[in-house]
Parts: sequence; C-alpha cells; structure tokens
Amino acid sequence: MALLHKDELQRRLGVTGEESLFIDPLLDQSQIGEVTVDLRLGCDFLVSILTRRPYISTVKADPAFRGIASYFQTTRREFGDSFVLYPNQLALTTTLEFVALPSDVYADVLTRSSYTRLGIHLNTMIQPGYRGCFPIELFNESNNPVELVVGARIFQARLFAGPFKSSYHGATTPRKYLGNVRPTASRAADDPDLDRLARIKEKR
Amino acid sequence: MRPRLDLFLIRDSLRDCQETTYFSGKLHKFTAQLLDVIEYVLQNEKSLSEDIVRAFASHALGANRYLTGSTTKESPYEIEYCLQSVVPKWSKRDCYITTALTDGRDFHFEPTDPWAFVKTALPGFDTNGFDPLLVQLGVPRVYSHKPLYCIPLYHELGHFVDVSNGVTNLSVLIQAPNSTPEYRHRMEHFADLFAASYIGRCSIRALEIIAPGNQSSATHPATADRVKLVDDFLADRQTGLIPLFQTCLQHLKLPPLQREFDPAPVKTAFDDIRTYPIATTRELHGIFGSAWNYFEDSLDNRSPPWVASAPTDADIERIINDLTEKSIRNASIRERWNSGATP
Amino acid sequence: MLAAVPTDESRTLELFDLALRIVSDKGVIPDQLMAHFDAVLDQAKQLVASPTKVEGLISPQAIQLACRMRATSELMAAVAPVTSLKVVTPDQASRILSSLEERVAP
Repeated sequence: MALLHKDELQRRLGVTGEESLFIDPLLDQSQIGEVTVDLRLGCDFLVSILTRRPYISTVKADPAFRGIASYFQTTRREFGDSFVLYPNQLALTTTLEFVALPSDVYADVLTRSSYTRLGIHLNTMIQPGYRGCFPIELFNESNNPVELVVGARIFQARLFAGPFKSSYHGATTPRKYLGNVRPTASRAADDPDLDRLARIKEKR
Repeated sequence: MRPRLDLFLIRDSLRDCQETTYFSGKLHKFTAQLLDVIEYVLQNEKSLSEDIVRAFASHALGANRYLTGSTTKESPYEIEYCLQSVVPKWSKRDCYITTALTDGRDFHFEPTDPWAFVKTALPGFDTNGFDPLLVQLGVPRVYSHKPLYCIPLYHELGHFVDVSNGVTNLSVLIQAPNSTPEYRHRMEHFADLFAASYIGRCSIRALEIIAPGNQSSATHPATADRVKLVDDFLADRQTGLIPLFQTCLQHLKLPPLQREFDPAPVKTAFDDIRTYPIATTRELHGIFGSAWNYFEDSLDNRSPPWVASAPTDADIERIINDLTEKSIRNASIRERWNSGATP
Repeated sequence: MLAAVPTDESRTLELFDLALRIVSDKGVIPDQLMAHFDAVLDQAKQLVASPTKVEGLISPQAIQLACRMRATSELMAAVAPVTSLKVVTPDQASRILSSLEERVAP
C-alpha cells in the first residue's frame, strides 16, 4: 500500500477516468498537503439526544426497538456558522467536500491535531471508490463545549493506493450509503446477520 | 384583540426570535428594526390614527408569523440560493427569504412588506432607508432535500413578480380578458412562462405527468394549453399571450421573458456519482432541467452504470436529488468563499 | 407538486384604502399617505385613459386601481371628481371605499 503524496494527489486531481480523485468544492489548493488532504466541516448534523428509552436497540425483533434515527435530531448550519459540541456529545455530520475516491484508493480520516487537542476525536476509514461526503462521527471528549465553524478545516485524510480495483458503485449488491451528501443515522439494525443471530438465540 | 395588546405580544415574540442563535444576520437586523417601530408606535399611539395602529399591528403580526414560523435549523438553503439569485432582476428592493416547512403539499412564495407601510403611514419613524421585502418560502417538509421536486417554486416566484409589479393587471388594461377565469388563467400562464424562462421545460413536466388531461377550470388553464404556451415560448414562437406579456414588461421597465439558463451537462458527472461543478448562474438554473431529464431517463431506462447498486426507484431518486442539491450547495459555497476574500 | 393559487393581491391597495378610511373616520392623515393616495389616483386615471402612454415608473397600486375603475362604474364615478385627498370629504371617502370591488384585508 502506498501513501499518496502531494505530487500524486495533484496528478490524480487533474486526470479523468479510473485514477481520478475528485474533491468538490476544493476551496484552497493549500488543502493538499505533503501526505494529507485537509477537509472541512459540513453543514448538516444529526445530534444525539436523550430519550425516555433505556438504550438504542439494534435488534428489530426486540419489542423495545425504535428506529435509530429517532435518537438523533436534525439541524443545519450555513457556511460560516458555528456548531457547538458539548462534552460527551455525539454528533454525526459529513465533510463539506463531496469526494470521489479512485477505485484503487482508500482513505483514513482523522481530526487535525488542532482539534484533537480540544478533545474532538475521529478516526474512520473510507472504502476505495467511495462516492459522497465523508461521514463523520464527532465526539467531544473534553470537559468543555467546543465551537466548531462550518467550513473550517477540521479533518485530514490520508489516501492509500493499492494493487486492487473496487467496484464500489458498480457492485451488484445495494450499497447502504451511496452518494450521501448529509449524515445518516446508523443502519446497524439493517444488518441481515442480526436476523440469523436472533433465530440462533431463539433455538438455544 | 386590541392592536396595542397585540403589539405587546408580537414584541415579546420577536425578542424571543432574536435570542435564537440560528438567525441570520440579515433577519436579526430586520427583527431589530421592526422592534424599534413597534416601540415607536406604542410610545406614540395617542397621536396616531387608530386605523394606522390597527393596520400596523396586522403587518407586525404577519412579519412575526414569517419569522417565528421559519425553520432556520432545517432551511433548504439550496433552493433559497437559487431563488435569491433571480429576485434582483425583478425587484428593485432587497429581498430576505425565510422558509417554512409545511406539512401539506403546498408551495408558496409570499412577501410581506411592513416598510412600505411604515414609510408612508408612520413618517415620524426614520427607517434610515431600510426597506427589504420579507419573503416566506413554503416548502413541503418531505421535499426539503428534493430540489427537483421544488421546481414549482419558480412558478410561485413568477406569481410574486406578477403581483408585485402588476404585470397581469396591466395586460387587462391593454387587452381586456373576456371573463374572470381568463384573467386568472393569464396569471397562471405568466407564472408558467416565468418559470420556463429560468428552468426550461421541466417547469411544465410535472403537470404533464400528474395532470395530463386537466381541462380548463375557473382558476387554471387546461394542461394542454399551458404546455403548448411554454413550448412555444421555449421555441421562440411569439404566440398567444407571449407578446402581450412582453409589452407589459416593457411598459413596466422590466426585462423581457427570455431564456435565463444554460443546460448543465450533468450526465458524465452523475453517471460517476459525482457532483457537477456549476460554473455560472445560468447553469445554476439550467441544472434543474438537466437533472430532471437525467432523472426521467434513469427511471425509464435504468441507464446509469450505478443502477445495480441502487435497485429501487426511491434509491435512484434520492441519489439524483442529492447530487443536484450538493451541486447547488457547492456553487453557493464557492460564491461565499470568494466573497469572504476581502473585508 | 401542482402550484398553489397565486399570491394574495388584496393588500396592493392597502395604503390607498387606509387613507380613505382615515378620512372617513375623520382622523389625522400623514402627508406622505396623502401624497401616496394622490399619486396612485392620478396615475390610475392616466392608465384608464391610455395604459400604454404613461410616463415614468408605473406602480402596481395604480394599475390595480385602474383595473378596478374599469370594472366598477360606481368607483369610476366616485373618483372622477377627486383630484386630491385634501378635498375628499368623509362621506365621499365612504362612498369610494364601498365601491372598491373587494375590501382590502385589514
């Protein structure tokens, strides 16, 4: 696996076809670093909220099951507005940028150190060939609320190329998050294995 | 209720609005000015005509309804951006758009104008030249992230341009209609042509799908007539009401109805599930027609290479609407980014 | 997705109507409101006479009033002798108000 460096990142941004890397909008060329790409905070948020239910169930057969989206509240901010993340709060969001990864490249996305030092942590992996705004799970591990500005460079992505070619959007099985442009609640409950596991549990 | 008591309630409601951190700077200023006028009226009530106080209370109530009923936390910024780019050509005044997400299927584009009233009926209050229109955009909640389904808003904007300038009314003076329904039909035709001038044929496509055989009614022309007039307009044929409307616009010193869009070649981008980088305002409006054609082709012929990953019509619709929305969003972000380059 | 009915235009003549109501109620009318009334009425009469020959910016209020005047002979007759709101009596104001086809929404 090869970590893509600046020259290769810029080359891929300039070509079309299978090797093409697409980032839109790329507001500042300086976002392309030596081995990383800075990405900005997007406009849409799903903020976790407390409900009267004791836990989030992921098993649909559970009588206590409620749609996972019901544990989150939607909100939007305009470009340049602030979003405050409170201690121990989870908020789902996306990058401002819509990214099309080449089929031979995957991405690791982390918070930039300026924000890691404020207690905002993120570490996620994006599949080769991904299409959409990168999904981001923001969590504030500090004691203080932290103000985040929509459009600020909060994240960085490291891109790795390998000797493979995924068919991310040409796959014959449906993709859960194809072309997403805003955060979506977890679809953990849609995992088909959970039905099998429920039957295993019943037969014990 | 007595106007004075209404004004107290409205004042408190507007103060609560101001505390909302989601309010934009422009709406914040609008609210602050309105609060100043309310205070002025409350302090000077005895020297003002009762009719004026009552009428002002009605304006304040309307503005309050717009401001408090607007869902700034869920605004369809993309649609607002598209419509905001149209208004300056047709209105000499600033226009602040708020959005109400409705539970029905109704779209509306309704202005409220307290400042024309204040300047004329409350001349003792100095507005310092502040006089933007406040427009509430009504969007069905289920369509708030579906720009292709919000196409009717261009038609509603056409009604706004018509009423705020008196286009259809002037047409009545120049060429009297034969009946009241014909007058109402003219308003619909104008709004259809206005929408078509910005977004092309997709403006009328919904009618062809939903109500292909609708006959003429008291308020709306027959679908076939509406479609024909739009087709004639887009083909530069000066038929029917088109010359009359153009004459009225000329007399009102407004621009003529003409194509204000360029097709946005979205196919290559959308086939690869990428956003389309909109380059101009004409492409901004043109993306609706282009995306709509792509959408219909995808549903009818299942042609995009990614269709296997999106097996249902709902998935196809979601992807195309999202790509359209994000393409528009990115255009607005680029514009704002560039506007922030200098203080 | 079918578009809703057009924007309510009944407020277009609101200030014109307000001026008449104040006179009818024998209230104090601001100069600016009086000037607005006079300008709208003057332009409306020009539009009734010759809609394509009016100079300058044409106000939507004048256009709508002209339409109402053409459609309602009582209104046309009631405003015909009026050159300025200054000379309108409370009775005259009431007559003009009642002959406006639709009352403006309060």
